[in-house]
Amino acid sequence: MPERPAQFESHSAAKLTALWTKAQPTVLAFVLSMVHRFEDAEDIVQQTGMTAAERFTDYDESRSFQAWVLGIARLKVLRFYRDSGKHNILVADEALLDQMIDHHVGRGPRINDINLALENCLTKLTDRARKMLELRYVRELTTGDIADYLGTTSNTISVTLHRIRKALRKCIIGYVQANGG
Amino acid sequence: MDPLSPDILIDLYLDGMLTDEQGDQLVAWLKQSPENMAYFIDCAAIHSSLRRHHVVRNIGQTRREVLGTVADLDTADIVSEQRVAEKLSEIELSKLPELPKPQPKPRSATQGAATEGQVQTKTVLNLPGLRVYRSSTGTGSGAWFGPRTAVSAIAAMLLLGLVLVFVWPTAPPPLIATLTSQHEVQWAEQHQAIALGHKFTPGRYAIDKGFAELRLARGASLVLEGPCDFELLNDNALYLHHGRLAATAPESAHLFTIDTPHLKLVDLGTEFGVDLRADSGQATAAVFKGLVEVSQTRDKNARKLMLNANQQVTADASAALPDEPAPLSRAHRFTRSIEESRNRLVLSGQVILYRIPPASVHDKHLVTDVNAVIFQERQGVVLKAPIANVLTKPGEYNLKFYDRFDGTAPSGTKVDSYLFHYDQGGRGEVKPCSVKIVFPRPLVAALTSTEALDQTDQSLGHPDTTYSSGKDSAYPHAFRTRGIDFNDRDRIEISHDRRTVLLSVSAERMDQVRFLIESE
Repeated sequence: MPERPAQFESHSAAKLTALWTKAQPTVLAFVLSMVHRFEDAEDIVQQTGMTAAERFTDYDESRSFQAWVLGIARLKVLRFYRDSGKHNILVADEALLDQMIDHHVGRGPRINDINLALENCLTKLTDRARKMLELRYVRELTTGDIADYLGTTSNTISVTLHRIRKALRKCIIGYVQANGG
Repeated sequence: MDPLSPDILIDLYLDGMLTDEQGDQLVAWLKQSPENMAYFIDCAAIHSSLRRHHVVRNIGQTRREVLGTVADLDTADIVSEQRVAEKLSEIELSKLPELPKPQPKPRSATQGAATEGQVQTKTVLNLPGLRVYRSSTGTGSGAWFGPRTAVSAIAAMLLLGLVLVFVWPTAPPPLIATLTSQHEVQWAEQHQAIALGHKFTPGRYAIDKGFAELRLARGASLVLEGPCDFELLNDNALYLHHGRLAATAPESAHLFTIDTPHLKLVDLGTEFGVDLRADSGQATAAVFKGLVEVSQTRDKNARKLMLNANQQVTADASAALPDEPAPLSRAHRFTRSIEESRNRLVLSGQVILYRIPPASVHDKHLVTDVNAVIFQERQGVVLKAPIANVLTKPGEYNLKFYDRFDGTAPSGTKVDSYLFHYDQGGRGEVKPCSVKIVFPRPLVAALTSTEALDQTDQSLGHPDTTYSSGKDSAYPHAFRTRGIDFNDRDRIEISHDRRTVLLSVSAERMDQVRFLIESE
């Protein structure tokens, strides 16, 4: 029987997925710097991706795709704060917000470096420190929630998490700089 | 009030616990210099990476398992830290700012009015990195910090740094895999120290090109083909970010698991491959032997698909698993051993490699959109008789140089054979086909005539493939067109090292060439 290879996706869909795959970590980093709850931030990233897909025909290929989707994400973040009635001091300062976006554009390679360094640096933490990070970053528990679970105070948890994150930052930024980042 | 350090301000901000006054401090600090802004963005990126890293690692983990993690926590050290913090806070109370009452945790605006504890499922976008379906369960407690507790928190944050020593590892990380073999491998820049015999710890690794064979401590063996980005999770599990690998899992590695953003594969005693494309996020799982359970990573409730030998399934973020698996493609791209990688052909142009030989190469039996296929027929055959009138020397062969077609492959030569097969499928049009083939070892001979092909089918052809005699039954009186007739468009060029062949053919029906290369 004649055999034919599977059909490929259409050109524009393939291009969008490739561009989005590269840009998505930067978009998530930007949104998480503006929105505190992981679920809210991830919803906004999803909405950004959906809008980018809907409006992909408007995208001007001579411009940076990352800048384009960060612009969409910016609007989503502003809308989130408008609809929820919450306040964020960085979002309220639009000039600062624009500066943030400018700094995020083109940071894909830096984020990749940070991801790789994170793997390395996490191995240097104790099991206890890693489990604490899991509670914060997987269960999405606040310091108060973690304290409730463990029967301790949120102060202690805040301190612990602060120390872990500070040590990680030092390790990651040192690693990235040592590797030419 | 003394200003807090930028690191503390950033942490309070990222956790949504910043007061207005602290917010002003943070904004002022951010505006001081581009370096401050860059540092803040690095911190946000690390925050985001931590989220991604932990979610990825815990894909598939049940709520119960997560709660088990909580229960496993050793709280002894934390309680002692708490005591230290309380003592220190009593001393420094007057210097410390107050924390706000935390906001109760509202549900996301996009989640509607679900009650706490209610499970919601959403359908979202068909792009990689986005959840297709997500179930979320409301969490309960909105923590309330009394003034004293709040003060203690900052006291601890400021002062415990002086006395708490973070426990960096007292034991080295476990060695969970070994690099047992490789072929023309180039590891990513940050892994240049990896050499044969290297012992791997859990972590993320990347291969730019070539092949590496890793043996995991539980016994699973992996052949990874670059470019490939993967994460060793433990001695029996791996996360594939993108790239291609083939795995062999013996009984000791039962339930060996490979996760990808879209598919999760659990071995039930088998050999299988996974191919995850970096551009589209499309994942293909193929089983060569045994049985593999496949499920979609993001939807834990979705049904599982069992893949048997010689079956495959392809999925991406946008689609559910098909009801039935597809037959394993003959043109699958998995390299299942380093030895196979050493024997690999490098192809370019309108040709695909069949790793599973076709059942038939009769006229019109094997028509592909890329015009031509090539497949290995036999390995290590010793020629019992010389084969005359074949192409053996470097150089260009076409109508102008017909006198060069007088080479002979001597008897006693040990060869591997490959068949190049080009079929127009009787479309009635002449569609030219140009390919470049780089063989792993030098060419002994190229058999381009119908007679030479017919004579060697039995000794050098694949035993599971039936060959055309050059006369198709549908066209009993047609000209024998199996070999290349070297019309004015047909051309073969053999490089000086006899490893590279440039081939251009065009025919109304079919052209074949049998290549014999030196055997190992």
